[in-house]
Amino acid sequence: MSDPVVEVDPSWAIVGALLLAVLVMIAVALDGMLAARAQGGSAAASLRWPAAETARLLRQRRRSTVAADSLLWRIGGAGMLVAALLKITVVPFGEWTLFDFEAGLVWFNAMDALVWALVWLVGWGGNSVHALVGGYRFLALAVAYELPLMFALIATAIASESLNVGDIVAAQSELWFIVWMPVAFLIYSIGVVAFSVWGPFGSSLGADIAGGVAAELSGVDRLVFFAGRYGVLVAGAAFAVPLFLGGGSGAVLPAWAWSLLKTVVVLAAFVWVRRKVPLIRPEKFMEVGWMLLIPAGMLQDLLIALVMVNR
Amino acid sequence: MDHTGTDHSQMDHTGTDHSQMDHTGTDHSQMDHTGTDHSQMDHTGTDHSGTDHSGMDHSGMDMAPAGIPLAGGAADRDGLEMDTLAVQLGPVLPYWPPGLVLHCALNGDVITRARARGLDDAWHGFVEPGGREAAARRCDDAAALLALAGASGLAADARRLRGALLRGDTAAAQHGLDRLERRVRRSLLRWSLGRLGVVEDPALAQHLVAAQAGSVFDRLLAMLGAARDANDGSSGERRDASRLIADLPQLVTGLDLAAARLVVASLGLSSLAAERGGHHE
Repeated sequence: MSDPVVEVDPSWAIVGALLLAVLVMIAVALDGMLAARAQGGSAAASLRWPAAETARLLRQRRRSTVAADSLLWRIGGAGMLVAALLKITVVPFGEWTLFDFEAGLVWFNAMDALVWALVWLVGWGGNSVHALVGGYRFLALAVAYELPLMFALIATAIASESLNVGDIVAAQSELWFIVWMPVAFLIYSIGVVAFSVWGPFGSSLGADIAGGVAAELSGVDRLVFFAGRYGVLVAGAAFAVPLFLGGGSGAVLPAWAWSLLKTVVVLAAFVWVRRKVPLIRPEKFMEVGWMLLIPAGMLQDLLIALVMVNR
Repeated sequence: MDHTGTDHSQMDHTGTDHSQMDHTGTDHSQMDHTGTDHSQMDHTGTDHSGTDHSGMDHSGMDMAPAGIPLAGGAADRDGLEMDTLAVQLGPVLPYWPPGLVLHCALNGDVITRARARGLDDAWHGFVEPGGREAAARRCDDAAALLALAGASGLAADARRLRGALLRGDTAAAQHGLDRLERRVRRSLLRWSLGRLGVVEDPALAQHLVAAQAGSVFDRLLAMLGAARDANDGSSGERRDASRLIADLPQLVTGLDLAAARLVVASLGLSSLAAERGGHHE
């Protein structure tokens, strides 16, 4: 049996990183366009905005706070981008992958658990009340989204009898997982939006606490943190493709094009949801996570396990 | 653009943030002590490094790193000890009534004690219900509350309506207010704000006028209703800012910062202060 994915030379990681950067730019531009449409601004200006903001932050002098825990602060700020890059190593792009790891699924999950620490460290490091409160909020939120997310990931592993992402794609040759495990897909999507501190789960970056964990970030620190935050959103969207959407399978177009296309569609949906759902405070989401999503995720897993056993 | 807007407010904040840090030091007299201690410790630290004093040195350093005293401890709601920070909210924050200052003691992000004051005369006395401009101010209040609740689309609508009202486009504004109210009723805000900020203390509830009864969600709808009433000339309620400020500590104590910000925004204090300011001129 031929391997569903081929591991490519590590030097291709540069291309992977560039691809991530391009997708981040697309997400930022799309978000800007939606904002412009909602508030009656100029769409052209919002397309220029990512580049202009990057230039502004690169020129801006880096500020620090009194008694900042600089080391942990920087680790947290830069870590988001690192976590995003590490995540995409196990995401197949068509039939190529950077890292054909036996436990690719666990690898991805480990990276998103890393985000807990990273966001908290950004909140902690600046030695500022508002940033710290943002950190608290993220941890509370994480307690509510992480377990359901794990159950959603497990669903794909049960159905493909493997933790290898290539095997998970291969198991979908007849039927995409999104079709027979829609609940897992929904929970996975909620998890991605939440660990990206995005939209309804953005209370850790809330306007009521002066930008929360990012309150004291400036200059290049701010740029890297927000790039990383978009990065984990992109990585989450990209990982949904092999997990639930059949990877690179599709008619006419080559596999890599399908991977890219599906990623952009999922990413666009994530970006769009930001303006559609109001902020969900962690204590409210705690109810949803524990009372609804965890039981739903477990039932989904049970159902899939029963199907697999009786096949 | 939305993004740049947020950015700026964040920058503004940093200034306030620092002053809050300073406050922590000055507010607590015992903290001051540790501050002084620290400087002495510093000296001993350089004198005998590596002696048995180093243990003490260390604890001295920890009490006030860089001259900022560490947070003191106090029992949290669950009885366990938790850091307490003295934090001042206001007088200037985004989506915050201008000139309102709330001195809080925070356990984590929960307000355990609060003291409120208005900075100037604008905060005393009654405000009579008014016309078109009053309606626009109520839209401002609603926009601030919606923005805090993270409903950026609805907040943008409220800001547009404010513009329409100030331009004198009353018919369009009336229609827009109806539409906004319908959209708010249908939104998830009913779920996220519906049980927040309900006043249970009967004595306190008596102070609040009809527009401030119920939850934060009810008050949001009341704001939009008041804007509509003011716009079409029907009289609304007389509101009293000083009384609300006196009640504020009770309203926010026990809430976390996010909930407290929403409750404060739901009281419509910004329009009160603005109108009082207008009357003085």
